[in-house]
Amino acid sequence: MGWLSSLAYRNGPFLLSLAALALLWEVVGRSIDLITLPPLSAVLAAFYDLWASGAVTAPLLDSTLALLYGLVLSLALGSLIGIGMGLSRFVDVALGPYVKAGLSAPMIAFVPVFLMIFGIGPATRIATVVAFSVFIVATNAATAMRASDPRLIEMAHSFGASRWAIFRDVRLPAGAPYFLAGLRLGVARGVKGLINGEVLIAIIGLGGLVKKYGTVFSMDQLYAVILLIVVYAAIAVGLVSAVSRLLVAEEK
Amino acid sequence: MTETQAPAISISNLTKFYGSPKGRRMKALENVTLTVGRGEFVSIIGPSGCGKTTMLKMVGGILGWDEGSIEVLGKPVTGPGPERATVFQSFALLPWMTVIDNVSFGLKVRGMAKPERYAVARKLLASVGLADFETSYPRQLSGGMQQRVGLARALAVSPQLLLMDEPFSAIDAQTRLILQTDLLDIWSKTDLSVLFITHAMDEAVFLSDKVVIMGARPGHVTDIIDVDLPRPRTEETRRDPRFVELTGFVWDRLRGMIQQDERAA
Repeated sequence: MGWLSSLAYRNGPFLLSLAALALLWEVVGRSIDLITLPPLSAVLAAFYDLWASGAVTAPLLDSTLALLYGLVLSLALGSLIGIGMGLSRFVDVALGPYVKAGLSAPMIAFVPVFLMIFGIGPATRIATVVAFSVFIVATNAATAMRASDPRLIEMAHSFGASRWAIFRDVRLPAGAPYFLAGLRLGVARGVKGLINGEVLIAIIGLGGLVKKYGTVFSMDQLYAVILLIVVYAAIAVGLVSAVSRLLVAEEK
Repeated sequence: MTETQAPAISISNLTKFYGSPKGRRMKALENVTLTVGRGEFVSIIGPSGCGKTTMLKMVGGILGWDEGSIEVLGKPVTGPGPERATVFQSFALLPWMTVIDNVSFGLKVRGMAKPERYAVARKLLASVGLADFETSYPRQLSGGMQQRVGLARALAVSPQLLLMDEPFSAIDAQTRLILQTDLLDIWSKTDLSVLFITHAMDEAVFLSDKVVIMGARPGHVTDIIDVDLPRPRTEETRRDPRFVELTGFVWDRLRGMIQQDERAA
């Protein structure tokens, strides 16, 4: 009872579909002897081996550090650009087109460029994370600045509030949900960018493992790493969602 | 008002243009002249689009004008000032702040430390009957209570001039009557001058020393009526034949304008 039953109640359909998918995978994997699809049990066994042997520890740490640095940079840079765009028409017109372009452009194309500039080190991966996430953070920060009710700003103005006080006491709290949504989307895109970049660079991090096992057709290990990446991304986004729910709840 | 004291508000020959989408300049206000004496309660009433809220914003110092002048306590208005505070139609409470933080907002932006501003806010919350709601959030309060918070916030900065922009128009009719008497009660204990914008004839007459009737296109003053009902005004006032007569007079003037408008439209 308690949290377990409420978890089952809320996520019951998902758990059901997950079980069905796992079962299907296992049955298909066993009955058809495909090299490209080992049964789930073999993948899980490989997953356990990888985990226990410590083969994924270093890549996982590498990836996580690059992700963290990249996200912090994105948050700082994106917020700065977005706040500027939200508050000033001049900045909006000057930078808006780049942000819009960056939002829809296939950023993966820049990874080889980063590789040439920054080399094999973490800087390339950090740059990739930034390239993938900074534009969505900026877009949402700009929206956040425009989200405040003009009547509240007028009220603050009438009480003699300075521009800074209006920013701190009205615009920022009113825009907080948009900032946090930007952060959430930025993390999701950042993880995507990180792994994409790593697969492309081929020798680093989780993406490097994908490349490594993929090229030697070690399918159970390949699936194990892919599974790890999917879970990793879900946890990263889930973590940010939980934190932002906490922040917004505290504010309300 | 003594000879040496400048009036609370002195508006003369005020004219304001608005840029229309086609680039044509539209006159929003034309040659408005109006005085609010110290300690006086003055209401402005008029059809939609007569520029009454626009004028209040200009007195509040958050909107500019084109010709004429506005002086508050003898000084020309150049922006918002500590001697003026506004109560808004939409309440304009910050939803993420508690009641006490909302009430002390004006003091916060003036740099008063938290213990001091909370002390002031508590006194005012008590005076508007919300002492028990310090830690509530605006959305937990009824409309009437929210506007009490709005009133307390305005009074917290100890203004000499209270600007009220249709403060009770979003509140149900019964609560509105109670707020009116409570407002008069609070006002009578201070030397506040009040400029009150409203759509409601009975409200204007009940509250005011003077009712200013404005017409639209462009906004201009058509009548200034002295309300000679005795104070303190109570529920009895609403049944006073003179109250009914004055309210009827205001309605006659407004009805003429509105009908003319409808025919023109």
